[in-house]
Amino acid sequence: MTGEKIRTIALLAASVFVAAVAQYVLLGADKTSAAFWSVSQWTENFFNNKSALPGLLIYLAAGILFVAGLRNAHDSGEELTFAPAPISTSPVFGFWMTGLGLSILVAYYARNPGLISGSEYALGALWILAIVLFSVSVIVNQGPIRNASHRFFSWLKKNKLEILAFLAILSISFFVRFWDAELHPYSFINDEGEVGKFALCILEGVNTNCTNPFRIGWSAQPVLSFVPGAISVYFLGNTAIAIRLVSIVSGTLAVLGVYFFCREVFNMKIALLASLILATLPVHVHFSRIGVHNIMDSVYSTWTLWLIFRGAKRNSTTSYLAAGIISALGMYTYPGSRLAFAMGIGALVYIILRYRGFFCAQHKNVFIYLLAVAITAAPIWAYFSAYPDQFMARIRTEGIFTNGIMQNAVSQDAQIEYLLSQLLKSSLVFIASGAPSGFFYSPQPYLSPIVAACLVLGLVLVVWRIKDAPNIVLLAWFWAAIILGSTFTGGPPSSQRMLMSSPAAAIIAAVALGKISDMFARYSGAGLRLAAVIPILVILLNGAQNIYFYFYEYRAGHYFEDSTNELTYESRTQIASLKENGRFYLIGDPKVYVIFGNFEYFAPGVPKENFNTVTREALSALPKGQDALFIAPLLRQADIERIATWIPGGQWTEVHRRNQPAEVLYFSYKISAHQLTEFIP
Amino acid sequence: MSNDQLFFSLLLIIIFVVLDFYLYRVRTDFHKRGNPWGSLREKAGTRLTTWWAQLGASLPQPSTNIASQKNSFETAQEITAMDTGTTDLLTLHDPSTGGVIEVKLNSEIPEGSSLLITIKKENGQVRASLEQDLPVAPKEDGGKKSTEKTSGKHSPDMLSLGLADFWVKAKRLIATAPFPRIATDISTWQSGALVAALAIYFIMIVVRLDQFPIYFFTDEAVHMNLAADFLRDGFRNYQKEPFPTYFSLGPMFSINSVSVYLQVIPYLLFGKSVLVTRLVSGLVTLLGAWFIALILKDIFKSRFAWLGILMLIANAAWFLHARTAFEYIELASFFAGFLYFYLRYRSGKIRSIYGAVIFGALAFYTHGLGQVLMGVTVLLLLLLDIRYHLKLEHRSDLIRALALAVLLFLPFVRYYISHHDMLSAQLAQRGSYWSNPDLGFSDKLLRFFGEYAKGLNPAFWFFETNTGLIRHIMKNYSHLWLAALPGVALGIIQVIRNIRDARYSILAVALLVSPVPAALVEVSVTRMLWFIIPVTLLAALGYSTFLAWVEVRFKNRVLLISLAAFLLVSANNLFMLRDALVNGPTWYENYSLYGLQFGARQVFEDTILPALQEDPGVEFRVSPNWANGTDQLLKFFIPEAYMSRVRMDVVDNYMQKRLPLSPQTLFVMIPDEYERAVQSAVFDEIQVVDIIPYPNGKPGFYIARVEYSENADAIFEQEALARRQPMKDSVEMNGETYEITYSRIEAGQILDIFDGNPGSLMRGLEANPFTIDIVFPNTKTLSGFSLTIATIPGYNIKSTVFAVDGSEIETYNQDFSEQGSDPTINVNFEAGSVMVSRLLIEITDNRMMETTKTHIRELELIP
Repeated sequence: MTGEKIRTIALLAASVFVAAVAQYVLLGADKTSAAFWSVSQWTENFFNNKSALPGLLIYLAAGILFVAGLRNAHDSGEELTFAPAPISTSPVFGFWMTGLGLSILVAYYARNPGLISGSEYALGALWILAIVLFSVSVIVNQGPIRNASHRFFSWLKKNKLEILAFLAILSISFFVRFWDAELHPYSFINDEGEVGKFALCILEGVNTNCTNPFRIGWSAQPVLSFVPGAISVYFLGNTAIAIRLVSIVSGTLAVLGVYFFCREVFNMKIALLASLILATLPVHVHFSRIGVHNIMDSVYSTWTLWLIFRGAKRNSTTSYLAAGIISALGMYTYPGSRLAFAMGIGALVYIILRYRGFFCAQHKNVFIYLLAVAITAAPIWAYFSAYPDQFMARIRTEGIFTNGIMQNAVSQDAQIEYLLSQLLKSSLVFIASGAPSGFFYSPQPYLSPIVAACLVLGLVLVVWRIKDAPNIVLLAWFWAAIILGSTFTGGPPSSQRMLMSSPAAAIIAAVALGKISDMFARYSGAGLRLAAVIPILVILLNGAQNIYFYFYEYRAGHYFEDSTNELTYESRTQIASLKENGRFYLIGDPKVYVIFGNFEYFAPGVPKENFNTVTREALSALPKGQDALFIAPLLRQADIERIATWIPGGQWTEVHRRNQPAEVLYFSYKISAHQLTEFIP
Repeated sequence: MSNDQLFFSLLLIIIFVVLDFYLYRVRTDFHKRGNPWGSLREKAGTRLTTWWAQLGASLPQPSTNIASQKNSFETAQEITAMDTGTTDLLTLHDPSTGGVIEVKLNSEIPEGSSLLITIKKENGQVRASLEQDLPVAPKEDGGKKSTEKTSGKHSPDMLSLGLADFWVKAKRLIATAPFPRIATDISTWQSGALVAALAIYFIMIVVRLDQFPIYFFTDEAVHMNLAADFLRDGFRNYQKEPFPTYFSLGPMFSINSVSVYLQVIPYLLFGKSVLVTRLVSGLVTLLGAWFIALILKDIFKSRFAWLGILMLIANAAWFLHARTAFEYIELASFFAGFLYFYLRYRSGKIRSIYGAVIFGALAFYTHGLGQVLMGVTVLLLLLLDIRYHLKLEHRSDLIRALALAVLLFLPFVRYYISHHDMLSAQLAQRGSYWSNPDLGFSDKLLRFFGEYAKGLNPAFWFFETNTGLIRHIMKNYSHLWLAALPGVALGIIQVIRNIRDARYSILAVALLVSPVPAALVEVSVTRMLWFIIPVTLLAALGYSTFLAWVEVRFKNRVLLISLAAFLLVSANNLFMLRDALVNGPTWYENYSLYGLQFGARQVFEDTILPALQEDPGVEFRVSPNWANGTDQLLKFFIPEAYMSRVRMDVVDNYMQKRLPLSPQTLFVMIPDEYERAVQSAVFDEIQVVDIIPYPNGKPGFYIARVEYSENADAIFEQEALARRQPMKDSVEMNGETYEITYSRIEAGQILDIFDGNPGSLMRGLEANPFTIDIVFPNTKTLSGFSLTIATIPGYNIKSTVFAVDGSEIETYNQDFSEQGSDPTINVNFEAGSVMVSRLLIEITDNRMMETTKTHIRELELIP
């Protein structure tokens, strides 16, 4: 073995060992101490396990060793190569202006929704027509791809193993997300109920606030983001799985996107590793199983970036077109997905600036991308331009610069300290600290220790070769959501707003792991396959751990459970059974109210009222002629019991929490219309 | 969705689909012809690198470091050769080189009536007036009332009644028609219309810009040629002046400044290109159009500012010239900028005076006539607004503006010191009557007013069609849009009524000053293009007033009226564009020197350049007889590397004497020359390789190979003998008749050199030296003579004086070089005054040519 080999292996092994130590130190630090999150107190607490500094410094040392090892091995990064300009073909007739014009027309009406009252579906159809016409024009103009099907099938034949692996990952991803989704995470939360309510409203087709696809709906999300849910509810009914299925599919698509991205930018090994990491990543799995739209930003970011790199590498018009449409569609969903759109533009701009001659060769496709973005996003941009408050709505309520939190940090020093602690909480959650908030409430970091160590080494590697387009994009992809979605918002770590970072984290970790495995293959004498299989086995093991954690430890720990959500969810059958013949009265103040989304989603036709002032007079004043179902949480047990005393003979039920049966969830008391009518105060 | 919205949407969709068809057609055309933009774009990067290398080499290098200077040249040459394959680095070897008005209405307004509120400010007082239109009476007696009213106004014949009824019905129809009510926000519409108008203007100037006008004229080419040489020569003009005030190509051309500088960056980016040089000019006119809109919007508070843009390009004269690279149109656009900023200044925005100074300077330096235009305009405005200028609160800004003006005037002073005869030379070159010594001052003044009146004559602008140089007109189009005339009339009425208002008086000044520069020479449309600016403003103001009046009448259809007007003018414009592009090439069929001068692009760019690139041995002899200044066109289209293989030469020269001819030499001949060549016995065979047709399909240029016949030499000998025979003539001077024997001439006459007018020219046929032998009837005392000849680098003048007996008294031999433009040489006899009976003058072109065309303007004998 030559000196170079020895040095390389020693340096890399040392870096892995030191990273493991760093991870151990970080995990072992007392994160409940305020000093851990306060940078100014790090040095004074350096040796008493209440500072993040030792762990981070050791990680720094690990990173330096890792880079030194790679430098010693003369490892060079994967430089992207781009296809030259395509051969121009004869012009073919296309609906370019019509597509663009229709989009502008739709944008005009989106800006002035009053003008098209009653024709909202037509407006949506026009918008789709604009995109379709433009897409068809682009594809037709591109001309037929010679032997496309033949090339595709011959590729399939040659890469059976990869296809099998890919299908396996796809299946794992879907299965891990789909299995028992109705009951885990438990329970169906009221935000999901709100999404369901909107889906029902769309299906009703009466309220223009729901039928106009270019308006803003619940939680400042465009109406269009609720359409997949509406379709799902249409086929599966107003059930929990109907709403969660959209996220399940989205989460699976994100894993798919990661595979495609890595396959395009790196290689198959990294693609397999990264997609496997993401497929079982608890935080990603968790949000892929909740029927809110946070998961969308991870989908849009992966697909947008994959298609942009695909387009750039192959000078593929259709990829640019799809990238444009998909990134613009990100404007129509969860506000965090707008970041994916910005990421796409940023990546393209960087590639243009970084690689000489790129724009000259591919400017037509870049314009197609921009046009596709413009055509697709024009209506919602027009709407936001008319109603900028709605664009800023979420940012205003969540952003620490706009909601007054930062202003309350008195001095400039305090502000910087505050921001740094926000950043630490948002970033260390990946490797060292739990996620006590943000709809996840996990006691563990997002990543297992081994993947966490790989992530940090990968980050060092990416920073080292930051000039390469994939690296700077990965870095921006990872940090953008951490900074904008969590650091600058209240209550970090905001897991629900950092999902865009999880694909990037998975890829960065996979890159580091792939690099270590490459070095292992080069210097150990082991075959390439073995070198590839070992990390995959490591990741599979990691996946198994993740699955065990999420489906057993996390569930058993009841981290996500919340009695309010459980009440609104578990009472659904009882309330829905009233149908048109009964009314539902909730004695829930100050914990639960009928406005909560689950009530309306699961029992849409049933009249519902809060009944918090429980007196005989109030009871007698209730509308007659219908059955009445009273529900009260444990907190209001006395009130509902009074009703049962005043109007005896009703149906009393005591419901316990599903996973914590020792605790009462709520009481219900149902009386008939006759009993109510007979009641004399 | 309402019917209105549906109608509006469907209409738009139809328009989009139509646009798609048009786009497809344009793309197909591009594909067939090759995308002229594409090659420009690709060239830009390479050109910048090359120029940078050239510049580094051509700028004067520190003399102390000769070694490094040499190295840098070599490096530059290597880069150039590697990147472009060109060798255009020959020069590198030359290192030496407020308030709100509130109106309260206290009145009962009956249903259906309309109110017109007019607010007017006169003599500092604001007045409001109210006009009310009563509602239409109920139906049962309305008809009667209407009939009575009608019968009171018109004679009760059936025709009048029918018309009145039709009018009532038409109004009702318009009022109830399901036309779109697009948006409630009218200002949004007006802003949108402004942008749309600019877009239409842009389309008007940019679509197939390289194809219409069909010619590419020398005067268009010179700007970019000068810009290129300016860069090549280390930011100097041909007179070696660094960052010159003006660029001069000699008396045949105007002096240019801004128009050349404007082309520098486009040249750097794209190289010489018809499209680019015209586009630069076109974009400057777009700026002019924008200023017109701003004047209407910001100064006259018109809601129809877009009308100004559309009406400007609706004028055929503007449209045609906005698509050329002539500097006149740029001057006019800068003039619009000057007016805008000055009007802003007069409207109280004092700091706009800086803008006025800058745009005034741009107009001043763009063309010689700009000096006159700006000089007179500024003088008049200075006097007119003297009280405003002298206000105390304006002082500091005005002093700074004055300083800026002085600073901007300094380049002119610098130029004037070196070229003090510039103005008179320009006037003389243009054949101005001011340089005619035979005319007295009063005659000149009368002529001036005559020309001035012609410049203001509506008949010249609005009714005359198909008169003037066909290069500058569009067939069957008057210079200005006839439909604008009523608007102009309305505008003039407004100006007269509001003449005390500074805005209107400035407009009047602009209108009245505009013909002055042209009147100094002779009125023609190109010399008057800036006149279109105030006229367009007047027309737009007039029509704005009209539209506002119509809006009051049809107040429910405000947007519809605007939209209709917009569509009407736009449709007219687009029709004119289509007409020009489709029919323009065959409007006139005189494509020759005295007509359209068609063929620059077709000859050089489409034919010669590809052939040169394809075949390294081929050479071209191109006839110069189909356009003015074809050498400039050659320079424009043919890169330096190929220049040695293309020469402007006419086949007739080869028919006069034997000149070297190789089978690789191709002649580009116009039909006349081709006919002569075919007829000539000196040629054996003429092999036509290609024919470049005129747009009407007739042959325009013959690309042919010629070969001498066996008896060509004998024919040449005979013809040479005949040409060497001198000419004889008698000239009456001072009551005496001189017998003059002189070399053969091909232009002018011998009298021209004795008429005291340097503008008249006599040109020799070929003799070198050119001899003039004067025999005096009586002995004459002479001490010398003065001779005004053409600009040539070096020449020798030999004069021999003879005594009465015929003996030679003395011979004077003098060499001259670099005497400047059309020099006057004084030859003084060393012996002083001598009695002579005969004077023999021999003028030799020192360029060692066997033949030359000696230009003699004047010969004056000095007693």
